[in-house]
Amino acid sequence: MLRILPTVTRPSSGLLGKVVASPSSSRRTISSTPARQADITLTVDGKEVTVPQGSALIQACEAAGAVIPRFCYHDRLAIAGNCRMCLVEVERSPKPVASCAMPAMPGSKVFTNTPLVHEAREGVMEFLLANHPLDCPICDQGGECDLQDQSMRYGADRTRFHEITGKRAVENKDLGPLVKTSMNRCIQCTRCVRFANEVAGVEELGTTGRGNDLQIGMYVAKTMDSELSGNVVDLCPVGALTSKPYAFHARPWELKNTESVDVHDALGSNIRVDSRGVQVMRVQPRTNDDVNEEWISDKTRYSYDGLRFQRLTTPLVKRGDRFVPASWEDALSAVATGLAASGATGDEIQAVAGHLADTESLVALRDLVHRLGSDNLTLDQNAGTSSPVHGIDVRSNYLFNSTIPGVERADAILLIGTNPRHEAAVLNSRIRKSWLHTGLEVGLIGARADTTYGYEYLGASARALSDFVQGKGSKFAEKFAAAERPLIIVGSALTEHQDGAAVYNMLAKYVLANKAKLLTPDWTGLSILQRIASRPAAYDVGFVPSKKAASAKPKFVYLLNADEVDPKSIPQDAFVVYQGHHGDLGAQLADVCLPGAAYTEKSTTWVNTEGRSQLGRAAVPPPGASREDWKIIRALSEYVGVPLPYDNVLALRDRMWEVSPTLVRYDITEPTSTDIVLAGLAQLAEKTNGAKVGDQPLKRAVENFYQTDVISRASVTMAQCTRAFVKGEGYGFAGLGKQGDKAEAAFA
Amino acid sequence: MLRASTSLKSLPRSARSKLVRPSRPFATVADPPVRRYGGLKDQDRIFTNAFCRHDHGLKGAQSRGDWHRTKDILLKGDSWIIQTIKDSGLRGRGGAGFPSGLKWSFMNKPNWQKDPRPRYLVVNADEGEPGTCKDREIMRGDPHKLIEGCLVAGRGMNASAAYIYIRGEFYQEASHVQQAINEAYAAGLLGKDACGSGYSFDVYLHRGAGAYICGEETALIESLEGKQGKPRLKPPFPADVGLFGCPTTVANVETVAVAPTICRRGGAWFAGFGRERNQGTKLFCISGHVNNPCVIEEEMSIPLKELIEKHCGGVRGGWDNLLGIIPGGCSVPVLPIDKCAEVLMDYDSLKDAQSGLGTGAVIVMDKSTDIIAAIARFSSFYKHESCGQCTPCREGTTWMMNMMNRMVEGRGHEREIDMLLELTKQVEGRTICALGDAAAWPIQGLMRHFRPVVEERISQYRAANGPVMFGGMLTSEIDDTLAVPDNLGANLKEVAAPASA
Amino acid sequence: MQAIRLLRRNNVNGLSLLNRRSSAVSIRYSSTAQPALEETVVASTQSTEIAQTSQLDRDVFVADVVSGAPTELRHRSVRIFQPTRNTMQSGAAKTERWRIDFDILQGGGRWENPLMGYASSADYMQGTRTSFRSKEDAIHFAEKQGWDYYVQPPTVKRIPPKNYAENYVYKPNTLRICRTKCPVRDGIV
Repeated sequence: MLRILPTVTRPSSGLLGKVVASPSSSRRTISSTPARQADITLTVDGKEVTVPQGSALIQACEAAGAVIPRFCYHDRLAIAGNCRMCLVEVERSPKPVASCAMPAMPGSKVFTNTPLVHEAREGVMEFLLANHPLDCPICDQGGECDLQDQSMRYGADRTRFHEITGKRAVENKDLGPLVKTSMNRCIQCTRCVRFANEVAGVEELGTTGRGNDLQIGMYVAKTMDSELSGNVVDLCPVGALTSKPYAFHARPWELKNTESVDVHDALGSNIRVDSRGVQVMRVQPRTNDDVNEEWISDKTRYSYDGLRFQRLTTPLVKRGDRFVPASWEDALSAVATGLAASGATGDEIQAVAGHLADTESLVALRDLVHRLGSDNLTLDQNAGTSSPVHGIDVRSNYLFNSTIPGVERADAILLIGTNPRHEAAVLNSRIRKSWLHTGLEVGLIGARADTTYGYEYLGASARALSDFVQGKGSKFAEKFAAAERPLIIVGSALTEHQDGAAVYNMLAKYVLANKAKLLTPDWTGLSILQRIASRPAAYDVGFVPSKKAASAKPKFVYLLNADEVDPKSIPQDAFVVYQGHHGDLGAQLADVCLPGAAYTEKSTTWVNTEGRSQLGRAAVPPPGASREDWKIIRALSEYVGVPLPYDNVLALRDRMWEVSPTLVRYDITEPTSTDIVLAGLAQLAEKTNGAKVGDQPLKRAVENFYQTDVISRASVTMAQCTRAFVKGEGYGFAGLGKQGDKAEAAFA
Repeated sequence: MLRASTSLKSLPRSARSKLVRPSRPFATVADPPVRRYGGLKDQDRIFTNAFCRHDHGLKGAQSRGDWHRTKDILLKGDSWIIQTIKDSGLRGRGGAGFPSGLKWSFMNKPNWQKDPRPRYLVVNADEGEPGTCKDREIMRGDPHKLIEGCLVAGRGMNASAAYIYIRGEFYQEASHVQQAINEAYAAGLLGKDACGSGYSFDVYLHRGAGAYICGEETALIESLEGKQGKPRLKPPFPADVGLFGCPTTVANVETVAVAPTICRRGGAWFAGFGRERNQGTKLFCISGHVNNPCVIEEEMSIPLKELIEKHCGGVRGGWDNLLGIIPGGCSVPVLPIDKCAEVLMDYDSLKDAQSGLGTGAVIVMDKSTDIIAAIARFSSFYKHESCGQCTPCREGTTWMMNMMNRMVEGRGHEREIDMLLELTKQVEGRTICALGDAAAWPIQGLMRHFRPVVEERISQYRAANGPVMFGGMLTSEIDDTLAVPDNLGANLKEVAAPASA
Repeated sequence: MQAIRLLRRNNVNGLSLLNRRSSAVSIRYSSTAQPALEETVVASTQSTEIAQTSQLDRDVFVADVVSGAPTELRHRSVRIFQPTRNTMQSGAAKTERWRIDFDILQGGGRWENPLMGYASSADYMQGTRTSFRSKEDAIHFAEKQGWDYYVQPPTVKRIPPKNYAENYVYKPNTLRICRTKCPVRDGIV
């Protein structure tokens, strides 16, 4: 009965995806390959292995496929060498050596599987467990605990520790509303300390005491005020640092993992959404060295509880001053009726794209609005109703051209009107890493900020930039001029600033004048740091108004995830439709609310600030009657009489390809050609010619890191963080909160 | 002046000859003259003011020969100094006994001149080992020897500066050393043009905060850098990446302080003392149950018994009242009386006796000593002084201390002696620094030589209190209503019956 | 819940889209992808694409005809990917395998009992994930089952050589981290 069919004749829909182009086509392999070092060869367990010179022995062992247990060693942290779990035997060494701290030596013979090594591991394991409480059943790390795993694999099968003096007891520390501590379980691996010191820039986390009284804690009894603090939970190999919001909620084996993309900033951090049933239980980072390495910000990690609250679950139609639940049919009819009743024609139909609008729905909405005869596509930001100063014609004018890993290659960085710590926290850690380990010099124009690295402050306004461009008044200008790979990072807030045109004009001219260093085939030294997940995609699809449309007074406003709109900017008589997933500001303004799906509930495309498009993935279904956003727009298009031509995501993505092919080239960044950058800058310089430099200070783009979008505003955890870290009101039993203004002043 | 006047003759001749001469069954030729060590003459003493009887200032020091033609030594150059030290056979006096000339020569790698980094000599004056008090006598009485030694050794390794890391508790010593530094600067002996030789050299004194672990060379470097005193792993060795990331050599006070005298009197003179590979003179500090505890400079390889009889007036209550001797500070294993009578005080002989010379701090214990309590006290010390960085030491010292504290009472199971020994083996050689080894060795020494005492103590306790389970819980204290795991040894037969029963 | 059922009943014109179980999803990874790919085009190009990556015989034994699997399954796409390491653990097991799992069902594929919080699902594939030794095996399996699939490339791991001595090496300029609990960054460097 069974037939053997060649695939081409197979009747089914068959293979729609194509096998991936190898990622080597992306720019990363060209740009960030470190200088080639000599390789050395050594023998691990009788297997010859070749590793770059300067590698640690543990890396050589891993390369040879030998599994080395470890607690303190972590690929992305400095080496401490203190857990002693990674002991291996090296020929002609009388004692076992710690493979993490030992450099791999050419020609050495390493044994990872000898009785001596087994005995050493067993001994270390026994010592670690001697003071580790046996509370695995109530420990949140249970099931994904390195100590559990490794004691099963490498530990002794029976206990010898029966001392009547008992085990060590350590007071728990209050690290704030995110990290729960259970310090009895700590095995003093100091991963958290190294992370806080080197990556997060919280140098107050450290060890106090000596010997068996060694404790991890903040100096002195402070909370861990960092937007990357959640990562210590991941790093902790035991249950000493666990997630406070997630505490006692789920076990790892109950969770379904979905690999997706984050939308709380424009980095597109790779995340793994862990869900149980219809709920997102937690968000974990996913390693991707091109984007977020292994870190995610606290907002990414902990704002998931906002997905549970204030959701729009059913279409709502305003009757009088109340919202009445409606069926989809009624709601969409109401929108069609409203559009007709408002009498909006042409550019009076306005669409506003908000922070969390996915690329598919942006394209669909753009097509819908165009079909309705309007060109009034605006963005949910200050000055969003006019075309952005940098234009959208040339991609390099609004993208992070140097790429995220490329930041580490820069040796001088000028930040203009941005605080990467709050606008792209993970990127900020890269700058810090580079600042710590290389001679990176940083200059800042804009509002002063605690960036976790030292910088030379050049001034608050565009005036400072004009001084810099002329090489006046600062040592940094000289350093920047002398740098091999200088990098200018421009904040996205500049497009919203009145001096934005002047700044871009100066920058374009400066870069053109210094293109020998700033624009080489190998290096693009001008990067714009977007802070909003949907913005690069919006620029890519051309979601900006034409000049004519910008002047029109809208009568029909379609808010797509737009929750930052100024209510005054919407005319009183306009008919407002809100499509989104949270009942926030945008929904309040609306006449009809259409419930959409949040980023964990739809498989959609997100373009990050580098222009890297990544595919998110639905982890849980949208609640109630809410639906994927592009489907809502597609359905609406039928009601308003201009049906869109795509019936499924496949067709929609073909349409996206037509709009911009980069949108569907997933997981790679398009290399920016120098010629195009030059052309773009020339155009930019011409367009902004004659802009006057003002003295208006560049303001912070993000006042409160923890609450920047509807999800984080709905999140209880983020509200607690705001209280603890932004307002400084103290948290929990800490009581002694710092005074917000004073703390700010200290950094200023 | 010194108590060296008592001659060798105070010892019975036969006993001495037995010490050093192996029995030869078929003596056909005349024995070569037996070299007997000890009895250092006054004119061969290096530390002539170890007892602080004279002026410790510059004048007094110069009258004792310090700073005499230092310029000439400096002008002879680094390789001459290092070769002299190598010829002298000087080994590090801080405990490990690494040949100093070799160690200093690591600083002068090929092309070291092209390295832009500064280079440092760090003098380890963090003398914290219980029983050891030699360096403080040097710093108190002969601080200029140390300062001059810094200059000479620093010249030998082409260092640009020396840091003397002195233990915080040594207040008077720090004052004397600082005074000596000030005087030396004022006299032009240090500074830009040290001793007029054209060599620029600075000496800084840094007072520690009194942590024992800061006496470990890399922990000392960390502490000097302002961090917590936590040892680093090696490699990188300090000669590559040391203080502030620069080439550094850490040397003991005594090692540094003898360098000028060696250079002045020649390596052969120094090598003339002591046995092969253990040459030189050494400060011994004898404490404990001797009639006259003292710090005395003696020739290396002096028999331990002679050292005690000659300089300390013998063991309290006579030699036969001796229980055991810890020959090199608290981190080396104890020796029982029969071994004490045989060993020579040098690196190799003590190593053969499964102990070590350490810092040369001889702790004598007579029969009134509770040897278990003494070793348990050491365990407490190491528990207290462990830096807590690496697992085996942090957890192991605590565990060993707890067990030793129970052993003092005898509250334990006989099988736990072996378990304790196994624990010491799990700590030994698995740690970052040598503190783990140092914590393990005294216990191993105790069990090696005094195990019957420990067993006796356990059986006594058992006789008085009934059976004891693993971990020290009494069987009688067990709540019958609770389920007790079977692995506590409650149902095990004792290895030996109580002696008193 | 009620809203969902309501919606299901209202299977009218424009809504039919919203009520669809799931749309077939196609993703192009190739940067040379052509616009508006017809299925036939894909079908004709795929054999060469696959042939480059696998040595499999292209005569796939199609099982979906007789497997008895519901035809709805054919309208859902699967993702073939290598799971990344769980960041909570240092062990890298399970990351070598290639996994197939299904996109979730939109529109009421799952619900929770409002009283007890029991999770229910109308999606019989929601818990199904299959592991394979190689990408080719996974692709072969998906083809055999007649499933639409797309392959997510594994990310390239770049860990630089690490060296313990880096903690202590000499820095000629101002010290930027001193590890002594006195942040240096507040001052301007």
